[in-house]
Amino acid sequence: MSGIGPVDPDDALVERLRSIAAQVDPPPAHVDELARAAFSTRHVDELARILFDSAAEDAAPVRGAADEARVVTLAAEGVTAELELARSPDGLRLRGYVTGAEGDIIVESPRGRTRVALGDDGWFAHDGPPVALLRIALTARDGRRVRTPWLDL
Amino acid sequence: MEGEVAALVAAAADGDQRAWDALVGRFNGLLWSIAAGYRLQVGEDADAVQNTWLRLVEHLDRVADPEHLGSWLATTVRRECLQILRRRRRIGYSTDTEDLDAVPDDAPDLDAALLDDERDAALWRAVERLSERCRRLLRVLMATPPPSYAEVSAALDMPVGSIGPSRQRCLAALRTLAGADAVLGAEGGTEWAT
Repeated sequence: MSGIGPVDPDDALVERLRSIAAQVDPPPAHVDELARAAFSTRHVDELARILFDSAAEDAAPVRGAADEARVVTLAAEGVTAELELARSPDGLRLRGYVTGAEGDIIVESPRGRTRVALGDDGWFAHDGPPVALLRIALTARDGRRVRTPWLDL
Repeated sequence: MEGEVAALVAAAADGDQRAWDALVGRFNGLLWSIAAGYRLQVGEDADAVQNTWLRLVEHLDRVADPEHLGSWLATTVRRECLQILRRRRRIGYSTDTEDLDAVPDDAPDLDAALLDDERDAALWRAVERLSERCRRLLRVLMATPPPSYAEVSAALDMPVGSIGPSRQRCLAALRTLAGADAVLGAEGGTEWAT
């Protein structure tokens, strides 16, 4: 790396550490597997833009309460979504309001997908186990599939 | 090799799973090494790495600078790790995630027990006793394959210019901790020849 070659004692020590780390702490097989499997989450759906996120650093005046709800507003062409997310050690509580969409809402986490009914009034609700990452997919009235970016919870 | 990464990104964006697998093979060791530096709980480190790959899938069509994919991934996994620590603090899983030394950690000795060579085991234990900054830096530097300084810089949010001096200082600290004579005496041999 420094270009001095293997006779440099620092380079030799780093190489020795590399070989030790490869033995005692390589990426576990299931981590490699999940990384390869992540490719299957690829979609060509339209990606909604985040218009507002109460968890964004410049929009979070108050921190601390475990049950504080996070509000995220998103939009794609002809579609809007407002999500209210509350996460606790017990689980995730999601309430959403969408316009311009129809059919079911898909709530997706790295561990799987759940289909949630969208009410006539545009509201939907989902309660589930705690997840670290979540996104939703919906169908616009003209049939386009729209997906939100992954949201860190 | 750099052009190769750009070609893999383009192929993966076209839906080529094998190109994606090749990217995983190239960078997963780096991501794991970065996450390992944060002393996350079992499972959280795997989450940080997987979330990073999920974000890359999402951005595959819009990778602005495929030549620097490794730096983008390194930055992303660092943010995922920090996000996990923040979330833990917010929800109150742990009293103080900054107080890392207070977390009892049996892992180093268990890991070290896997090593046949007693000097390697002693060296690995010495790594665990380094300062947080040094341990994190050395853990990234020992990723397989070796990371570029740009990737290390992104992994640690550290200017490229200070990596060399920090590396030198941290390796010196490691030698002291390990007891240079006992542990490092057989290291390659040549560099110790007078």
